[in-house]
Amino acid sequence: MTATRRDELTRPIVAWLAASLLMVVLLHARQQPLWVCGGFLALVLWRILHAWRGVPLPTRDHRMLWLLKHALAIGIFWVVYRRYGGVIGRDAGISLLVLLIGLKLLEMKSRREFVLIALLGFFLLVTAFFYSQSMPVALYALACVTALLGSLVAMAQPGRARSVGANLRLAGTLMLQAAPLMLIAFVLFPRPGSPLWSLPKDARRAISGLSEEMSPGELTRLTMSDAVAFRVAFSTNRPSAAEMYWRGPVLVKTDGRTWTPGDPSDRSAPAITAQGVRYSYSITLEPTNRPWIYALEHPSTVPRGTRLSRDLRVLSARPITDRIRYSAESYTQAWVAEADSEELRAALQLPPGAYPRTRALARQWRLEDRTDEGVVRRALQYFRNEPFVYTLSPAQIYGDPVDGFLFGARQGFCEHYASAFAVLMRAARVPARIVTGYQGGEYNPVGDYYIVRQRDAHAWVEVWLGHRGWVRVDPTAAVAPARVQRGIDQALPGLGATVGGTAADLAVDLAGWRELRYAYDALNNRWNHWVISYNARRQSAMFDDLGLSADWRALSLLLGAGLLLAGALLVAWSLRGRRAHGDAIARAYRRFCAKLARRGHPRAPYEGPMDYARRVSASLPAAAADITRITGLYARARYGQTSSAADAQALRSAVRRFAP
Amino acid sequence: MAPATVAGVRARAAAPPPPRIAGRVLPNRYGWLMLLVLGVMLLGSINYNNNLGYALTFLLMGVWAMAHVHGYRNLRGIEVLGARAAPVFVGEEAVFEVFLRNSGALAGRALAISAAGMVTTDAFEVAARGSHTARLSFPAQRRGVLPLPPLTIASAFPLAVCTARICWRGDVSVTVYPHPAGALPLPATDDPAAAVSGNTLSGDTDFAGLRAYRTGDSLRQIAWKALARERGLHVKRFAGGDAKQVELRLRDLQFIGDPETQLSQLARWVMDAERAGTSYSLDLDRVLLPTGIGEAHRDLCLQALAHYGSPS
Repeated sequence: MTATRRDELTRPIVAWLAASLLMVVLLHARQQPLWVCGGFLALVLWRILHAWRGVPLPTRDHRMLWLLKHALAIGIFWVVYRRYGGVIGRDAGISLLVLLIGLKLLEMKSRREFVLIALLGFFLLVTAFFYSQSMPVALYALACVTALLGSLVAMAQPGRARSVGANLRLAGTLMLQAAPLMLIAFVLFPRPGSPLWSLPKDARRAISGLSEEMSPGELTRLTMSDAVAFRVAFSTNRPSAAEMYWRGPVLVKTDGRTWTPGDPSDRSAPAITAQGVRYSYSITLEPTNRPWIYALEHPSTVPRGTRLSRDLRVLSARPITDRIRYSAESYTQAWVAEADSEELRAALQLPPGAYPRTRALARQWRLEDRTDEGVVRRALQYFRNEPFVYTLSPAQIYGDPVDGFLFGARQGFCEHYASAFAVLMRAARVPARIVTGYQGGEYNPVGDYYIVRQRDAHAWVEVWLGHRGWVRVDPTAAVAPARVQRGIDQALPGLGATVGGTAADLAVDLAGWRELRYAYDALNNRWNHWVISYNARRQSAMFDDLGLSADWRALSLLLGAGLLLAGALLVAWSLRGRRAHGDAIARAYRRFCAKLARRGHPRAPYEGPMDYARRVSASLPAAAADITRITGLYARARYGQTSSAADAQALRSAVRRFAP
Repeated sequence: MAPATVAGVRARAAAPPPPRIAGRVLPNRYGWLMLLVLGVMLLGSINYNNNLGYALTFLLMGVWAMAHVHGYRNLRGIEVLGARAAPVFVGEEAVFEVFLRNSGALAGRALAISAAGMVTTDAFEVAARGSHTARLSFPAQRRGVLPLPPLTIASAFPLAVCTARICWRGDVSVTVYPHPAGALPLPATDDPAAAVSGNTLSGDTDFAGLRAYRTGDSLRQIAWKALARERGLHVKRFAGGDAKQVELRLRDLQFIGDPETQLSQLARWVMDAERAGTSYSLDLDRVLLPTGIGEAHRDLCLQALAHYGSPS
């Protein structure tokens, strides 16, 4: 019994709620501007200072503070409006929500407001998943849920404050018991194929990745990113790293500086002539927001729902906004021997008047060497013999980007080499186009797949050699063979130091650390596959495998049935478990009777404990004292006025020692 | 989840469950609010096709449902054994003691008893296999019988989103005596001698011996010394004490105020006579209580006053 009023919020639970909300807001700190999180922290501190130090809250009693609060509310709307140009978008909405929860915390007085704020906390938590659904985020969110539920548990028990640990344990128990229901609902809840209403404009955040444009510095920027572009699992045999060219946008037009794709062609994909091994593999592609997917050069079978374009890219009907997994087949030793004159003409286009020195050099090669192959060879030799440097941080090039690179700086990254090479080829009347994509990949022995990261972005060139067709030439390989054979980390040893994030695994090349990282990535891959990428397609595929149709009606029925069954089991289990566990006293007495029964004196159904004790004592005089004592303990524990846990304990230990 | 019904909170083999007890677990307004928020979260998850959003929403829905099971379990072993209250005078607080027992193996947490939606106890806890006495006070405003309203034992444990309730309607009431009031002195005693002496206290001084205790004798007259000497329970007798007695008659008071005022005056007299040690009889026309003294007699008289005019 306590004197706490039912509607009163005690200091500990206010502090608890505030701390839980801080945890949730911390999850948003990566996306939200600093002033939002800082503002929230300030409001929380105000509330805490009120609870402990009596700092006044902005109520009507404190007119100035009260006005300040309203000014704050208006100010928040105004600032958010100014920053985002509206209050409707995702980021703006979350900024508003965070700050308004903070304000609400200030005026929280009753249990009603407490519950409302805790529920808003859950809502704020779910919005964090719009930014990241990674495993650490999920684990952290689980901790937030436990804290928020714990605050509700603490609030639901006014009066004697239970320990924080006990409340958290209860919250954890609730979550554990809810887990089966969650699993069933997660698997069976019918997933719609498309959004219910259009998403706000900023719902899809800008994602770093290859674009359909290449200008100097473009790929260099990508190499700063450690982010995974996609993961590839080969089904049987796998090509060497040097063969792994992951084909992306093909760039044909140039204005002298920037390369862009050629005119779209609706002609069907050209036939490829293939040799050697066919590799089949599946790729898990991270969202790109772009309408193409990546495949190993040269793709022969592309996934359903995509098509192969004229320049051998795999195009999808819609931008890839969610992580997808697809299978494809490719030959690494293949070439395309089909092109029409228009394509070839486009592959010779050069901006008039640009790069005079480069053109002169190419013309000279052309004069000295009649064959196209000879020109290609000469160009590669040129890159190899002249003091070219493969570097991420090339010296600034002034004036013409290609002339400046070839005859001045001579430092560059793959895009510099690719564009210079393509220009040289075109100037020598050899049709050439640039292919961008990724090259290589890091093998993960734990998960048996390759990780291709943004920093594996690469650019190479395809030249048209009349009798052989489009042939891949990688000028970067001439300058830095290691780049292609062993990957970018080996080619640029200093990369770790400049890129950051990879410093640890390059500088500290501990086998154990690497192993751990691979294991973590493999785990992530599983997580992505089983949890994050579970969608309508996978759902229906799963039900097809089981021979069930997966329309939403069937799913709803199954869902309802599953939840009912699981719910009934949970209820039955939690009630029955309690009963069996419940009566320690009766159990101890049953054990006592069982021991006597083994000596040939079972208790008759009609016999009360006292009668039984008298009868058995007479038959077993040696044990009579014990029998009398245990029966007395039982009677006191069971029927006594002041039965306590100590009595039950004494009975249990007496029965344990009892040996008639 | 469908609200669980706790009808027959504890089914025992030997004894049937106590009658007039029924309970249920239902979402309260916080529970509905939580469902609303979860609905919005589900819509957002659907629209963004966000699987962690789905997972969190479903997890919380499961927690919401399990909170009801826990709420049910929280009240599962709770029984009301009974209630009682000591008689009071009008204007006082009638305090009902409600005896609760928890036959379950789980503590009944954050319980509160409310009656007729007006009176609510503070939150309390009944330990597993423990018991608790809750006190509910009601203002006694009218003379007669104050029945204990139907009680609701409720708990919002563990998440505040649902309320588990047990209703108990016990056949318990408290007698409310009339408020002792009135300025009239005690009526004159019948015994002329005593009337002459006029001093009721003198009787106490002339000790006349002991007699065996009879039910209804005043505590003040018990011979405590004799009791201490283990000679049994005796009552001291005083010379002339027995002779002093008053007759308290309702009809004598017909000239003052309304019946309630008359009853109040009678109650006042009963208390005065008791304090003075004067034996008294009570004549309420239809009810006649013979002369006597002591707490039992006083209570009989006050009860007669309390029930005066009621049909039974």
